[in-house]
Amino acid sequence: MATKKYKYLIIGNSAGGIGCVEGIRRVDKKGSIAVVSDEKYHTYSRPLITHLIEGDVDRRGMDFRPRTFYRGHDVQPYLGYRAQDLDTEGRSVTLISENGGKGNTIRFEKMLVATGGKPFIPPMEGLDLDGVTAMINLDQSLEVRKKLGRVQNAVVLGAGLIGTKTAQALSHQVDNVTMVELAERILALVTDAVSSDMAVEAFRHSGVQVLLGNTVTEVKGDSKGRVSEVILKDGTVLPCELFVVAIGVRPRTEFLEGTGVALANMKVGGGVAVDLNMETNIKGIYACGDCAHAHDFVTGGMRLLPLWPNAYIGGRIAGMNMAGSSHQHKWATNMNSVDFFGFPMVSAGFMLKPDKKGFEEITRSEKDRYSKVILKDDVIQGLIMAGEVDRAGIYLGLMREKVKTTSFKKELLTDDFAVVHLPFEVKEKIKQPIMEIE
Amino acid sequence: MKRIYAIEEVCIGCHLCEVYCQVEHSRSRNIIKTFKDEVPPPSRITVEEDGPVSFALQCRHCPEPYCAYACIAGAIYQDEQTGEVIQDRDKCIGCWTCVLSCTKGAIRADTRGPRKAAKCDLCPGRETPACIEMCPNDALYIVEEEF
Repeated sequence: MATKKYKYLIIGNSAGGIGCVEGIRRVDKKGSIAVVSDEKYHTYSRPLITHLIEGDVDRRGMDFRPRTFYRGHDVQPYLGYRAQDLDTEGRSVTLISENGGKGNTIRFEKMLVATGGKPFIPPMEGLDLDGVTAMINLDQSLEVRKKLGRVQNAVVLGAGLIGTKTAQALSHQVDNVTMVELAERILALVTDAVSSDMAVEAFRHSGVQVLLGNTVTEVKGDSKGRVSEVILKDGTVLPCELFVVAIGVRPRTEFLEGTGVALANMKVGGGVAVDLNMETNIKGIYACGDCAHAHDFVTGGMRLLPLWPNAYIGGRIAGMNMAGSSHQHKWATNMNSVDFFGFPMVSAGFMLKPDKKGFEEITRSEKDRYSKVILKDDVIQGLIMAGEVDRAGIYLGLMREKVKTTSFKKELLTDDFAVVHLPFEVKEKIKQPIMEIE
Repeated sequence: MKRIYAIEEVCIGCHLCEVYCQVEHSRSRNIIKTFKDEVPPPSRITVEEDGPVSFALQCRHCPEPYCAYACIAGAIYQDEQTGEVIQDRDKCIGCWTCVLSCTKGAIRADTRGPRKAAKCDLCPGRETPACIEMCPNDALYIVEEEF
């Protein structure tokens, strides 16, 4: 068992970890970097795992960065290793290999925790049956892809981002796909009632059965230990050879328990508590992505924002700060973009108008198109665009810059809305490139 | 870093830069065929008008490219040598995260075939980008800037 020493240790090889490598290298070309991940793969685009099932992306297309990335950035990857026994004072961790064997002890000066999320699995019998899976990593996606040949019926529990994307992917490969969601709308975090209805329509039009206000209460298997059917709350029986559980993701922070790194209260979902620099309560130890909190520029508070752009930018800022710069992560909010069967939908900030003084909403509704902004004292705090998404980013920019829309509020959702109509200073700023990340 | 700017006072709002951007990124690269025989691609430059004021806007190739940071497929990156923000069209899956991230509204949804985002690529292979060359009033110019 050898001891290796690196200036920077990054736990996680997804958006946050890679963002951190790129952030460090922007400032420090030389300092040694190690990246540790319990997944044995070259860095891949996690949100694309369902596309691998759908078939529009192949295994190579999953690469988040070219295969030369680690060498090109002078990074030592430890892939297929889990980190444990973090000693925050001695600045070391131990690596455990896939088969459980202890590997190197790694000493470090600065560390980033970007361990991501883990699926929330409800207490239910039958979830250990063959053909039952979560959908948060490449292994699960590859496993489902292998089984597709003998799957005629699939059930997806949960209609969040993972559930909807999984149902869409399966619909291209499996005869009967049913998506079951307890809430009355799908993608509850990124839709309102109208845009949810439109998305549901896109699913149904493409042959996916969508059951709302319902859930799975029982999972049954055959004599070979394979899933054969699920029973819903209302008694409906759905035969299935594949059952995907996608009801939520929790921060993956077990690695930090008892180490002194402060976690946020479970009432707010847990996660590593960080400041705007992405640093934890322990100097030199940073966190980002699905395992950590981030500043939401709409609400002004710190919260979980388990979204790819937040993970990457949080990691990048952490990396620059680890290397001695001083930046703050102020570019995160609830923001999402999806395309279901050719129906595009983007959203940011609040989806529903908070029931408080000063808030108002403006909507525009047509047959195949819907848009909405939520304003607080004329500053945009929520955006939904469904059916037509071109130029959505201009609104996001106005949200981030907290621009008062008073003088152009009436045009906000009209065809006339454009940069040219914005107040002079706002317009001139938009025309310039973004030079600083704050 | 090459960057294209518009001179507001000189732009006459004729939209020819949009037309020639579409031609340049069409299959045939022929103006007649592009609009007669093909489904024309979206323009990667947008002319905005408000009475006498008009200007064209396209990707600013930001030194801090939010679109690249947000891309879930690793399909947008900043060239280390030139600073240019480049989209790898083969890797793009058309999720529109970059469309939402670009605060200039400079990335468009191309829905002609497999769904792809479309942004200014500074016309690789051309000495001068098509929009600049074809502007009848010289309202567009390209500058080399630090990034």
